[in-house]
Amino acid sequence: MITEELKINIGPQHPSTHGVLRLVADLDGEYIRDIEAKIGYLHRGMEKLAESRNYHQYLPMVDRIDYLSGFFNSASFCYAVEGLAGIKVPKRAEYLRLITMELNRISSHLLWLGTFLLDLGATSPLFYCLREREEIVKILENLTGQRMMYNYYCFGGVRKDMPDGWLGSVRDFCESFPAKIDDYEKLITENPIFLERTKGVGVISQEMALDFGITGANLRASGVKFDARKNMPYSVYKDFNFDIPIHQEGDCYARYQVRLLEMRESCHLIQKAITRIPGGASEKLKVKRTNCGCNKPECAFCGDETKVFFKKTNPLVLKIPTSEITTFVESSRGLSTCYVRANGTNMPDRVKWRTPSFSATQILPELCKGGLYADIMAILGSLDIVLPEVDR
Amino acid sequence: MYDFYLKIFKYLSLPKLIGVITWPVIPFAAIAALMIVLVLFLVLLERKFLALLTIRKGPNRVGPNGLFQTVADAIKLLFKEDIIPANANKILFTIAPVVFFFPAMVVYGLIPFAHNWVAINASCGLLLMLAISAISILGLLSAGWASNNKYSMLGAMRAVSQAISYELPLVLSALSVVVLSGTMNLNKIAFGQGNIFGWYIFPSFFGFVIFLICTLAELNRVPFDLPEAESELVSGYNTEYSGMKFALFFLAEYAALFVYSALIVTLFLGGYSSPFGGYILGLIPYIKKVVFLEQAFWLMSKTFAIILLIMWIRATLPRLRADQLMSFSWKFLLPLSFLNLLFVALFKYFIG
Amino acid sequence: MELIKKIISGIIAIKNGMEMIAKHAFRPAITIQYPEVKDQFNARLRGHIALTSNEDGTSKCIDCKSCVRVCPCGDLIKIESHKDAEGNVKIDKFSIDLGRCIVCGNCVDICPKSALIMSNNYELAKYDKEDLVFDLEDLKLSYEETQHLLKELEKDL
Repeated sequence: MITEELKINIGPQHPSTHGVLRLVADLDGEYIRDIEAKIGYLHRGMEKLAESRNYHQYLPMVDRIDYLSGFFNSASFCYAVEGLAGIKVPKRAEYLRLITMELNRISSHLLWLGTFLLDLGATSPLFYCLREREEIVKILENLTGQRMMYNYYCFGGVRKDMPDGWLGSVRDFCESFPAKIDDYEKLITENPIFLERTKGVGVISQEMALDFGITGANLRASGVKFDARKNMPYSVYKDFNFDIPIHQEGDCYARYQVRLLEMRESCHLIQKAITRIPGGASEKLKVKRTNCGCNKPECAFCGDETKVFFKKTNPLVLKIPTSEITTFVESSRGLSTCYVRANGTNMPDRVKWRTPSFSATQILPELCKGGLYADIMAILGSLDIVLPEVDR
Repeated sequence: MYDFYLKIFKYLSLPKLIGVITWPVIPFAAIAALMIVLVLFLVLLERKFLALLTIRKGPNRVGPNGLFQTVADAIKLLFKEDIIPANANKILFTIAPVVFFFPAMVVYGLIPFAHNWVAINASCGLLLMLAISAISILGLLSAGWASNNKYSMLGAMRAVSQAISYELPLVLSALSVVVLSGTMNLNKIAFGQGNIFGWYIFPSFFGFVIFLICTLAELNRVPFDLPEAESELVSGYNTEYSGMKFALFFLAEYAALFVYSALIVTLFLGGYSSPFGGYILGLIPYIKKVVFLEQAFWLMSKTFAIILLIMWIRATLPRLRADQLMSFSWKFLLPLSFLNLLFVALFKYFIG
Repeated sequence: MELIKKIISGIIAIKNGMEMIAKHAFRPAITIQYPEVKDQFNARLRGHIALTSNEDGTSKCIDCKSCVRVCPCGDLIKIESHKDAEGNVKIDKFSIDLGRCIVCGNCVDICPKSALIMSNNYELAKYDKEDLVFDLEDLKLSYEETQHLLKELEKDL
């Protein structure tokens, strides 16, 4: 009996959404002979737009490179420009940046979990994950004014201090969250159908991960201990003592477990940061500032450490001399890099983004070859690819 | 009942022959009406129940609490344009939904709703029911083939292999009930189970579990819904259908759901018998004649309990992959059903 | 045996999962019946841009064009003005194309006279794209609304 190969187009519009990704698969019955990923459907020219806008005009656009973790891209661009122009950031602003970045990491992982399980066929965990994410998004909306494109960081700190009662709401969230992760674990982690679907599927070995440039939770699930928050610390991560979860197997199940452990670690980090933020909650700080009134730089209530920016940069006159810088930030998908080259005017000469999902898309054909058609969805879901990051 | 019906004709001074001829039609008309109402209700029940389990409200805008939602959906599907793809096999494309829907409708006549209230009192009712339900697989295959679409073909092939693999454990578990009761007549099987200790679920518990799992596979429901997996194949054999043909596929699935649940209840959970043995309405002297109402109530409540269990499983479990499905059926369920049959036969010989 | 242990642990896991889902059936539904019930926001919500006004109804804008220079979207804001007899600036035309605005808030931050402010209105759907170009009459808030919004923002800071 002669069988033919079937060429199937898993097209750009797809119910198993991760964005608009097109996969052309050569099938032989149910087995995959070859698969090719075609990207570029969401290209918006983010790097070219930077050449005709000045630094303040470009800052709101940076959130939109990966809209699910907008704070990380904003942070890497802010650190780049502050490094070039020599702007200092006060400690309270750094702590606020850390809290918002970790909250963003949790919300991005929650959305990943919901859609990963939806791809595999379980329809209820999506609603529970979106319910938890709604709480985080409401907290961030109280702080910044918007639910997704925050535009909260500015060069030199953050734009506004937190509103009254905000720190209390974050503390309540962090206390109620680990019970919810326990719920998800009870539903999924020991489920025999889930184990059969993800164990041993899509194994990334250590050499393959280092060759392809995979970073983030995908790398940590293959046994390599690398995290930009520990290896190249930025912000105030040096002052904190936290673990990095590592697993050795490198299959979809290990990636799932690593991300769940990361969510728990972020929760602990936020709880520690809340106790240590200089100045404390904003309602108490306002009262103590009016009582103290000394205006000395070392004072614990009105000093330098409790401001949210030292001096706001003037968007009409900011000019940066000729220099270049690269900053590294550990976003929720991996290592995100921003390279800025200035040329003395108020517009950057070149801005280049290196995003982690681009390398993850490159490894997809290697992992899918020889497997079954139904495995594509499990692998694609566990790699946590977001298309706006890939196409920029 | 028959004399009462003939008395009406004598009262209206119409010839008795018409009464004799039209008497067999009435059960079928009643069952057809029941089926339509049940299917409309079941679609809404599924949406509302899944919404309850996922902390939402289901449809609640059309009608009070969303009661007319399915009617609105059916009207919308009626008005849609009926597209037949170019290069598709027109005859097969049009016949496929009918072949899929027809067996689900016919089988309603075989379920006993109360004692002796069966439309077709066949002496091999169980065999007839399982055989007729297997015809709908042909409809599925022709739907996939006639669509001229690679996705539909893949979905149809998967569906056919799944349906055939899960027929065997289904029939073998039903066979264990035949061993216990000694007959294939569904009316007598339901009558033979008295109070709760006589239900056939206790000797043949594994048979009940296997029958439930195979029902999920025959109905293409989660965790076996690979043929219509949304995230992989964009709705499988359903892809090219629009309008009323799609409505027929959709409604046939829910009609089959009710019939299989009623079959599970009749075989294993006592059918229309109440768990207490006697009937409450039978004790009151004047209403003894309407004891069939209470029997129908017991059947309906048990059937809906099984339907809710099936929907609960849908909310919990992820999907199985194609080869895991096959190995689960051939390597696990089939030997287990043989063992179950052996156990039940020994039970019947020594104890029953 | 290994097989029996695996089967039993599988069944227990599925039973745990089903229990967890059934527990969620008793939580109250989280659906908000929009538009009868709307969500509450605090003063920082970034709705669309609006113009504040003085007591006599004029706007505070002095036509310095700082907002145009800071906007990421190019020529979104169009302002035309003239100087009257006492040297005050009177605005003739002020239009913002809200269909292209990305609601970043740069213009509000930089305005030297606090003439621009973020209003709380987020229900802006229209049937035609040209209806989204808001001109002076649509953008201007009344004096009471201005005072109300400013007071809310004061409390917030």
